[in-house]
Amino acid sequence: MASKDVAPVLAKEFVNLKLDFDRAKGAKEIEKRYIEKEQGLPWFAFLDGDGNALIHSTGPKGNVGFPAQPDEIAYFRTMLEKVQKHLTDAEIAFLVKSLEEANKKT
Amino acid sequence: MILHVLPLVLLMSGQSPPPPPQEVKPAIVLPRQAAQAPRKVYNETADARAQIAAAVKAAAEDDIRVLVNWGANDDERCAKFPALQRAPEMTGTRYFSDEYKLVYVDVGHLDKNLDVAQAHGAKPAVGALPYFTVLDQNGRVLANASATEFAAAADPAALDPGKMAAFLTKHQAPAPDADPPFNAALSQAKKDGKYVFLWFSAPW
Repeated sequence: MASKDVAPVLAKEFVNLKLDFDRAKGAKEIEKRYIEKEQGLPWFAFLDGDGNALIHSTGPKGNVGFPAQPDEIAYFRTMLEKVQKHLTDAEIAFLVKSLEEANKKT
Repeated sequence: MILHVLPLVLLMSGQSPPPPPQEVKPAIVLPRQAAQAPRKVYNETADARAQIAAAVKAAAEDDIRVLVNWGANDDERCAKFPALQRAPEMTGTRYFSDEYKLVYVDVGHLDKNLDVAQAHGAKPAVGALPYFTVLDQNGRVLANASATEFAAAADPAALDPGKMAAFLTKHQAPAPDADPPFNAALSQAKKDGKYVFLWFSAPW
């Protein structure tokens, strides 16, 4: 998400906020507002400006964490499409492709 | 790994030992020798300034500190440092996964990287290795300490894990507060008509 190519695309739709789950005071409580059971790390959610979660990374098969497998990447695409307001279809395709390529490198 | 367990597997399965020893020996012995060879903790060819800069950059991303360990591969106390990290006193807090980016800088026989050490106020010396420097996420020096400050009472040639842990606890970064950045992100998202991509991670 911090890569030079991906970060500006994500920034069109999102304000990025990383919280240190283990160290930051209150981080666990914030996560609990959105999901009762700890999900492992990383875990993420898309929130509106009022703090409501529109969708989070725990999908039908569990937390996709860092999406790597095809079904995890597909779920990440679903997440993006759910909140799509500023991103174009081509930009979502680009983000999905970047995950697929990152997965090939590992 | 497979070669390591192969003899055990054969032994347990009751099979006869592998044939001509002269043919099998190299395949089994060589990997063992490699595994037993002492791992060099200090990279003797690394660019020390680049090592430290990379650690500071990584620490800044997680708002944690850097611990520079100035030492040498052939120094007994330096060689013991990796094992010290596994002492119970050192594992209660996850110093080297959550609190510090650890970087080993080779000072050889006090003939390497001393200019880098000096620039950080570090004074590695004979009989006092490893030497430690704590940096904040901006690369600012917060503390310097010689190994002699952590000498174990029972064995001055060893480091006392309790003393080391106390030093690391004293200089670790204060835990950040999640609420201010969370509230700021929500406000920004509302103002810009965007969403917040909230993700929970950890320095490790």
